[in-house]
Amino acid sequence: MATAVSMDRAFITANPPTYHRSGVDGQGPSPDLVGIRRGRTRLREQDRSMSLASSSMASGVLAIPGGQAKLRPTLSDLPPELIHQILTCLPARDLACVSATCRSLAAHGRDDLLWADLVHRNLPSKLPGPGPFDSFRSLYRAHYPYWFVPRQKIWFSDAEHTGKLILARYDHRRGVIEGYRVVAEKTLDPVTAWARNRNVMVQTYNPKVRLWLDDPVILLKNNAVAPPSRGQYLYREIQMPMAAEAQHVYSSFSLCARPRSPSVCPNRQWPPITIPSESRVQRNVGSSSYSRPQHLGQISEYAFRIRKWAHFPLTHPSFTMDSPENMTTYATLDAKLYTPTTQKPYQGIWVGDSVDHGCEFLLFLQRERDRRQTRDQRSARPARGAVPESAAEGPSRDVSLQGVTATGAEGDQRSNELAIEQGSLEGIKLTGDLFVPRGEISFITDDVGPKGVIRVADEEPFRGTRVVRCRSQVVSRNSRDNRFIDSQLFLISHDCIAQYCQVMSRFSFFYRVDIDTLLQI
Amino acid sequence: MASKSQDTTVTGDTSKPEKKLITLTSSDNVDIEVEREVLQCFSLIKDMLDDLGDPENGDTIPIANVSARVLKKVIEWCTHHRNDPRPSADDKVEGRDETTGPNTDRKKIEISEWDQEFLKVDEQEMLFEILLAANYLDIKALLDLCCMAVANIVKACVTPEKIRAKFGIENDFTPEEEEQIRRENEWAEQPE
Repeated sequence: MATAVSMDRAFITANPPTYHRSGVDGQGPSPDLVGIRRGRTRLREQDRSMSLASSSMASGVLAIPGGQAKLRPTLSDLPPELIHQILTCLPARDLACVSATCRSLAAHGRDDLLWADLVHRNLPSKLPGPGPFDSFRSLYRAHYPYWFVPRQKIWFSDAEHTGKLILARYDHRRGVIEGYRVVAEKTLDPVTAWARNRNVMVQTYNPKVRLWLDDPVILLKNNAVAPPSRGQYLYREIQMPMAAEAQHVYSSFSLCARPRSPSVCPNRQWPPITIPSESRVQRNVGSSSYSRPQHLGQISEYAFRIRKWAHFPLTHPSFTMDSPENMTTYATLDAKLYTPTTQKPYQGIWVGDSVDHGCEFLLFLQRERDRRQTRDQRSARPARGAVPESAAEGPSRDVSLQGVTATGAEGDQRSNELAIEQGSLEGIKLTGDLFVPRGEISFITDDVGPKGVIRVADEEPFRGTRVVRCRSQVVSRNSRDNRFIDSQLFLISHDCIAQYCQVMSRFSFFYRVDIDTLLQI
Repeated sequence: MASKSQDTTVTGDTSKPEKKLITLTSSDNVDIEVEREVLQCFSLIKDMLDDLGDPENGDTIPIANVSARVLKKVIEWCTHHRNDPRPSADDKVEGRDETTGPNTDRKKIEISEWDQEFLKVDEQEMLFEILLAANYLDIKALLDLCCMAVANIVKACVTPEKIRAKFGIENDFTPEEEEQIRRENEWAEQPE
């Protein structure tokens, strides 16, 4: 065994900070160099020595060499910062559980940082404090198990034909989880004529999208004030204290059970099959408690139900003539479906106009391309019409796609986009009407990239815009069934798209909805 | 597995002869040779080597708090992970499974297959010892992994009683305290 230890052993075991640099000259490297290791804060050093102290203590218990009788290692023997780190890996229920084992872990489990972290995992931004609650722990408990409602943010209902789009958030000032309907009003811009066909008018508009704050759809108040006895929230519904109660309209919230098996009937699933989802629940269940979760593991965090009913004093409960109450199922969207990326820049929630009524909301979805297709494209490069990936990064002025050249000030940028943009784009209705109901596909284009391009507009007001082939769902005059007709999409920008139906000689515009701004309080 | 070697030498790939070896001495006085490259994971030693230079011939670096058994495991892990991208100091470990939500789902946090195999240590105390060694030697990625592994054991327990049994924790609450804790945690209890 080597004996001449040039680095003092005592030093490596992080001994007292009484070591000084002077005095060890010539005797090998200075011990306290470790103490001044780059990036180490004083606090960190203290942590270390603290953990070392307890680590030696713990190893005294844990590591008895020679296989003597061992005490079993206990979690509470670990240094505090390690216990903290382990506890940060636990979901709330397990954190509560581990806190109930002994005094030491109870104290660790009360650390409000852990609970603040659990709360913040459900919210888009950190809260300045627990607000009306005495701690983040109380706050977390107050809204358990409903934190998934603000976490998923976007919810849309199965209300027949029309549907409903709501945004949910946590209001830290009042300490409530609330959800409001998204509504939009149009401010029409002056009409311009389409240079390509003077008979066609181009009617752009400015959509004023906002939350309808007068009439909340969800209002969840402190649940812990009157704690439901064990697990009752699972199959009970909670009546929400809405202002509409003054008009004798009541509304309650209930959880959905995760589906045990996929429903056989597509029409009884929510979200509809047009929207990708790994967790569809049953709709049209009536008010029976059958579909409610029986234990916590059954809760679907991707759906909930709202029941509305009217009850006038001295009369029978009634909502409409034929149904005394109204039950709607809400589902959320996977964030992957509405988050725009470089490859899927059009994804998002969009607002559109329709011929004879106000605004409607759509999910613009760009599905994953078929893997095989992607590989083929990669190996076929540089094939005609396909753009080498490198073109996306470097300056690509000379990239021309079947005669497509970008013009205008953003030319460079546009041709970069061209290089990346490909694949299908679907507009799926989150809200709808009698003719094309919610959940239906409004339009679909097979490729927003080179393969789908018809031309680049050189006429006003679309100069420089790519036009791609598209099919749009319209009401058929002759039959009850809807059909898809050929149409064109004008990809004006990642936030604005126009759809042109030749048959109807009509343009309609879509604009991106800024969800994050709407969620701000 | 390349890193599973007996005796005192724990090295990764022996086909390349030009590896500089450094000798560590464990708390139970066993010398273990390690490739210098593998020691890059040990922030404690790496910083020291950077600051002080390599030890001269015949010198060893004493690792006073870690036994040979544990040290070999740690070196095995570092040898396997030596080519991983080094995380920056600000990287925060994402322990919870974001996709399934914190409330209901008891899905295990994802740990790579190799790491799972690595953590299949016979005794729970070995896991704790690796955890403590990772903390002492300042190997952040291994520390994060061990913390997650302990958390997964806790999660698998479901009730306080089972956690106590699993970790040998003594219930030191008074009956009053226990009743209070029970009431506080009622919200989280799993109905039968």
